[in-house]
Amino acid sequence: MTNQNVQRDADDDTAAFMALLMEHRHRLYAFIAKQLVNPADVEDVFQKTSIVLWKKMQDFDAQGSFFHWACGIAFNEVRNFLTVQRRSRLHFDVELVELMAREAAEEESLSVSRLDALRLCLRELSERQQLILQQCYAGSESITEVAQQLGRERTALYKQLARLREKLLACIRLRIAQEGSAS
Amino acid sequence: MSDETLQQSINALITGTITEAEHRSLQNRLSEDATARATFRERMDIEAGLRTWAADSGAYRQVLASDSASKKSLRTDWGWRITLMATAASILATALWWTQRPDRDQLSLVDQPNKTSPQQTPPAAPSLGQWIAQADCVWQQPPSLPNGTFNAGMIKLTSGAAELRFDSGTNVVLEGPCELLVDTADSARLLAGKVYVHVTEVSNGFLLETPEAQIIDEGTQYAVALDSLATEVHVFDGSVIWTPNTADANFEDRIATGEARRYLRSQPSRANHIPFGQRQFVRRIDEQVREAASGALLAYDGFENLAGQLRRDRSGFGWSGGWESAGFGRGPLAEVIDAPHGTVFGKDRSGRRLLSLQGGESLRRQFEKPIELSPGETIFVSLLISRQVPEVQSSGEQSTGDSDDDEQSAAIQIVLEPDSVSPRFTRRHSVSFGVRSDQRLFLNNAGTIAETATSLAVGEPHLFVFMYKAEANTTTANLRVYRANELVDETQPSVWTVYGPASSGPTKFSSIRLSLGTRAAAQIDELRVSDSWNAAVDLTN
Repeated sequence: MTNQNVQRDADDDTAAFMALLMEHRHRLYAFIAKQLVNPADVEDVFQKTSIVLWKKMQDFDAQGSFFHWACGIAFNEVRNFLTVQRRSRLHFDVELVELMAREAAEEESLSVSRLDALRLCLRELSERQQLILQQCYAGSESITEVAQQLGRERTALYKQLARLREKLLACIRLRIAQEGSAS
Repeated sequence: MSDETLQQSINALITGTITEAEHRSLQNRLSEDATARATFRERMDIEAGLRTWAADSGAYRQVLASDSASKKSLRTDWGWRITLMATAASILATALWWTQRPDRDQLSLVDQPNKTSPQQTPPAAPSLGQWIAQADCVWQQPPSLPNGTFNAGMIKLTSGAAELRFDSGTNVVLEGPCELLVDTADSARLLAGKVYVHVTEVSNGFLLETPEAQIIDEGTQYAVALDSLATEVHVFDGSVIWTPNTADANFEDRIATGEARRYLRSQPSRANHIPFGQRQFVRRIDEQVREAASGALLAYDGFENLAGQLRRDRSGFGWSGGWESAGFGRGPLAEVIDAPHGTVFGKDRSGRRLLSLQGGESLRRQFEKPIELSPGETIFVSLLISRQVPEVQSSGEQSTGDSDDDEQSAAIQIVLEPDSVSPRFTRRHSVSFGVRSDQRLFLNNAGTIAETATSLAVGEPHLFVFMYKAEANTTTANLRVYRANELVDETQPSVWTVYGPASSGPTKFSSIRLSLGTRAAAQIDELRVSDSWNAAVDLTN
């Protein structure tokens, strides 16, 4: 095998892995979020999990579920994170984290439905509403700064965020219910 | 733990403002209740989905910004993916999906005071909120961040009043002289002086410490005064728990609405009941207005309460209570917000507040005692009105068109309500003025209506002055509206914007109502009811 072929195989592996990770990244992020909640913690663990997944990619059975395999690794990373970071922030007990991880993995299809429905429901919002959510959740500005940019009172923005979440939740539930009745 | 408490605790967990006690309670509930866990998972799916969606959108915007000249075809949801694939030198590019974002360390919804990361240099102390201060404030040590924000650290106010609006949803008014050490987004230490704490409905709690104790709120408006001898706590709404830092761990004092306590600093575990409200906590701008009007004002509201919801406001004078909903809703009333900087009718409005009304909101406030007119007597009602673009319209939403009163839905009405227990009589004999949906100014003298075509520019303040005069058998009403660039008449004008024909309106009024149509929005300020033109139009304060 020439060096060129080796390089091509490596590129193919990278592309295949990235495709899988891209496909499952939202679910994986949500899976970790259900155990750690805090976005900064979730992102740290997501990042570490991604690297470990890549390092262990040769262990992945291509016939199996990438998501469930990734969940196992992510859960280990959550546990490692909690061991190291436990004192820096309030976290749930390991027993509860394990329970929530198990239930989250079992609920995969519902979670996927929710995330898919969320994307569709977001499209139903006005551009301005989407912009508000982007600015608040992408985190480039604080709520106070976002409120200033929008010419809004901070408290009003908090309320609007709560209303938007309620609206999205109602939309998601409706879509999932419609899916259920259609299938 | 109720379902509402569960939701509040999950919110607090997400925003990083949850207390240890709340966290324990939430953990217990989640451990025992599968339904609660399902609720939690659903909420976290939405939170996670919004974060990944926003991150995707952010990366997408970055791609557009950097490649807009040459890569217009990237306008798809997957543009960022292609770019990542093309530019990734290694798989780390994927792992850095999040870390490549410029805002990696500035997550908005969560404060991270305890976050440690050996690979990163500690970021500058984050802003914990915004502050405003009255113009004549004297600082010994002002909040340290620019642009009206503050972070953790000492604040020393020598005189005047200032308000810290924590991003966690709690507002703290300092009245000088006062020393406050801000610890986190939801805690601070009072070292000297007086503070007024308003834990708003969006907050998940606030911990105020004194040198001798902790004050834990339970959905509260309260005030604390600390001097060298004692600490006083007055609770205006909700309750607080006073927990001394002494060895006597069993002592805990709950102070409820309308109660006040005094604790000697040498004996923080011994509560002394004192009269509620004896101490004045927030300087009142209202008093200045009352003095300037020399008694000619019958009622006034400048919405100048520095900390408080409208419903609980004690702002203004000449009223028998606070504003109440005139509709069916029982939720929070309209908001009191900062007045825009600038000069209105020759007066600087910076640092002042005003009432922000949204579509469909209707508020009523009772006069302290009914206003009765004898023949020949006149009353004036004046206020500043600035039409606003309603939130639903500014958000691009379309009206459903199914409102019962679509024709009226953009109207702004100020209604003087007669003194009657009969809603039917009140409705038929009210006197009102304002702006119709078609932007015509109107006045309605107990069913006799007059109108004038005009247009009020959105966002521009207008001074409305309504005159109502009782004669022997009739009543007359006129309305004068001034635009922002007009000089206000110093004496009662001979020319009015809307002339109302004589009618037989009531001569005794018990309340005033502010009502907006479902598609209207307005900012309202300086509401005055007076028996003289001068008092009605004087915006000195």
